Amino acid sequence: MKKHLIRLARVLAFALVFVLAVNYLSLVFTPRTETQRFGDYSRISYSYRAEAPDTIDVFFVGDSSAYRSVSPMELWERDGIAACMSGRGQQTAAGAYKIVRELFEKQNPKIVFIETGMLFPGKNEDIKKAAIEQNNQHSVIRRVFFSGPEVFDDIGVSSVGYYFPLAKYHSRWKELTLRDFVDLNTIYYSEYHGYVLSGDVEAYTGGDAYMGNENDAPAQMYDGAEKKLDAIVELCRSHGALPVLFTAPCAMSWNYGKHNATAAYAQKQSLTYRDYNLPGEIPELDWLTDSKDGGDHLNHPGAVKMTEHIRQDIQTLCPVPDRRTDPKYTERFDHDDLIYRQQVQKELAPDKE
Amino acid sequence: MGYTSLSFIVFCIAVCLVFFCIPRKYRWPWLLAMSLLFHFIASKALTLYLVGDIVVVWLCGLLIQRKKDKFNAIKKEIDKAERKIVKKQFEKREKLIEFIGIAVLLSVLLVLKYSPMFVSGAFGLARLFGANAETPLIRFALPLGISYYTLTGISYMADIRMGKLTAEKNPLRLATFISFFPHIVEGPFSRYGDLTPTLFMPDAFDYDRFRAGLLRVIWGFGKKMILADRAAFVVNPVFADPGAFRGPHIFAAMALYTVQIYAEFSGAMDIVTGLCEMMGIHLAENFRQPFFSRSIDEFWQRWHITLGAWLRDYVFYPITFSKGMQKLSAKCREKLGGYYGAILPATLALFAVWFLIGLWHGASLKYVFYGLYYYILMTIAKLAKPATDKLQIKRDTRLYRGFEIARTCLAVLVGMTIFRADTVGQAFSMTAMIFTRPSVAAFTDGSLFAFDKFSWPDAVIIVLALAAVIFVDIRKESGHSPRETLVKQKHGVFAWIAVVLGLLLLMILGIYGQGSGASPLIYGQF
Repeated sequence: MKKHLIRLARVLAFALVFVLAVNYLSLVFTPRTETQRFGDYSRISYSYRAEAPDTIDVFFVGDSSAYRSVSPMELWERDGIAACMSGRGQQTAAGAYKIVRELFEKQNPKIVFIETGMLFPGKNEDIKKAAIEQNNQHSVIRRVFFSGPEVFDDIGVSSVGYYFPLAKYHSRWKELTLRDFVDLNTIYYSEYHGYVLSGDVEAYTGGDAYMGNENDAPAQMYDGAEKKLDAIVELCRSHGALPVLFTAPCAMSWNYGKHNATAAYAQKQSLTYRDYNLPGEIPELDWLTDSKDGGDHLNHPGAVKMTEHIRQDIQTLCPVPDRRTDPKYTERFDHDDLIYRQQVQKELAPDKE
Repeated sequence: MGYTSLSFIVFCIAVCLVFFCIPRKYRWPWLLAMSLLFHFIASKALTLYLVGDIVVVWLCGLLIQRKKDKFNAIKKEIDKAERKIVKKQFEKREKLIEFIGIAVLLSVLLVLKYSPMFVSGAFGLARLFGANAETPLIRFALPLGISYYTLTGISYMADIRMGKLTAEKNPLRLATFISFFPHIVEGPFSRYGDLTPTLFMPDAFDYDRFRAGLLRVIWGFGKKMILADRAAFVVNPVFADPGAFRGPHIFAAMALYTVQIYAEFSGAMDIVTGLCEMMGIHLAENFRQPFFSRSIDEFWQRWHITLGAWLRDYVFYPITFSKGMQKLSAKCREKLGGYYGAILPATLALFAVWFLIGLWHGASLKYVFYGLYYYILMTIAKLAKPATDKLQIKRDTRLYRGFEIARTCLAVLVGMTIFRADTVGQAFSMTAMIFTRPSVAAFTDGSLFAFDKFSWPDAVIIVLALAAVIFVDIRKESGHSPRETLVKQKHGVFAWIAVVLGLLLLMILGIYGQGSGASPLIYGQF
């Protein structure tokens, strides 16, 4: 019996050593900046931590719709607006509140844009049905059983990579330096200030029909979302920042039901609300060329168009200073803009891999 | 489900977790269920072919056994002279049943795997005679492991007919043996009598054996994911367009392909054998340090051992000991004398073996040529032996042994190039290009490391990984297993250190993940 216990203890000890080693190496291997390969999307959502104190005038918070649709570097280039984005896939109102609360510890933005896609569940039913018919997207188990282990491998490897970044970033072993092993800095430096860039094009062919009927009943927010939204609004106002609700174009999940609910909330809270899905809001937006994934997110050309309208709204709602001559800002923003431009060229190149 | 895929790893963990919770006597139904599930996930409705083959093999086995039992029952009641006659009659019937069973199994294999080749050949021949006929595109989906389980079924029926086995009455037990998931994708070819004692009653759990098996699995993963898949980054582009490369690149690709196929195939065998070892099931060894061979003959006794043994027992010996061959053998000894008289009939039988080895690997003339390439080399060696013996070379010196090993490796390198190239012509032109496109600059301009997803650090990893493989093979060749040394260390700490380090190295240096370019199993396509 004693022998078995000793063996079990040994196995558990080495399992613990392995887990600790994987966690340590995950920190070592995870990229610190956009210029290192395979930027980490969830770490990007905390990239505001790398901003120098008191250098953000405009802040954006939301889910993947946010980080795919607004480019802070475009705002910098056009009007010298010092902006930063915090977007995260599957973001919640509670998560957004924590981020905004942390932001105000070191920053004093004039405007905080809150993306509303994270407040509501579900995708548009018709599109969902069409997607199911087109892609046979059934439950994971059914897909794995009938579509083969490849589906499981894709999902599994992504999940393993998410929880153990070593698996996701292991190919970076060639780029590591001694510093990577010693400086386990967890602050992610985003040269794009939180924006996630994609040159992919996958058309959405449904036009504006996804919005449904103007008179659709207001949709239901997630439980507790409204309360957290109240808290975010209160936080912004108490710090002298103007809270603004906005909805980035999203054919997959936005509709009039959600718009009406948001508009009602905005009215209740006396908030400005800009829904960029409404017909005519971004007339130059073309769903055939401006989406990366068939209507769920914008690609870079789409984001540039969206950002231009946000820029105009900023100047209307609460003009912010042009920081392009202030060395406190230019030192970082000009450098980041160079890298941003290079990456945009690479991403939009016709022969991109 | 590739052996190094996440789904296979999860599948094996799930199988093992339940396996160890079930009493040993009742583990085989669980293995049967999981093996059929494994096959179904890979092949869907094509699993019916596997089931059909199992039914045919089971029925034929029982019928052959029935004939044997009947003869055994009546032989005591008849006199010696009549017994001989009756025995021949029964053997004839047993052979007929065996023949029918083999014919059914082989027909399925021939139609599904080889009909495109036959159709292409027939239409090619017709065009030679002036017919204006376009080859129709014929392609059948292949059930997983059809080449493996077909030969496994044939060996089972043959062993019953030869009296080496008693037929299995329980079809589910036979199904477990044939469909057993560790050996159905890439082998080894298991014999019923060898595998089933531990398949139906696995050895009791043993902590040291479990660790040894786990180490072997990790070692196998390392060979495939760190070495083989990395070598493929050089091999694939060069073989895809050899004209775009210079001599050193081509030689590097040829050498690396030999490394790739050895690392991958032997790595896969390490994975499945290690997994079975963990479960207390004995799977046959399929490799025995083949690159220490001093001749091609020896090479094929160390490489894909179970395929060679299968062909020896079920093709070579039946041909050699057939009446016709015995008569020919006697005539040859009479006309050609002792040595050549003995080897000529064997050489003829070997032609069949090597023709089939080539054909088994793939349904194209390239693979037939591949088999015959080795046949020609071995035949030349056999025919030249009397002459080379007269030179009285000291064959047991280190230098000469080194020369023989190097010579064998080079011959294998050319053989593997034939195997990998699109056509035989391409293989030979690539070999020629090593000499017609020399380039010293290739060694200094960095182009040897400039492939997609491959740079000089990868070359360093290949060298280090290969050094590790060679070290382990040297140790095993001298009778010492590094694995056993680790496991038998006092307190067993080193074995666990090796496990943790091995897993970390796999996670860091392994080729996996979306867009990684990991290669599919080479032998899995057969």
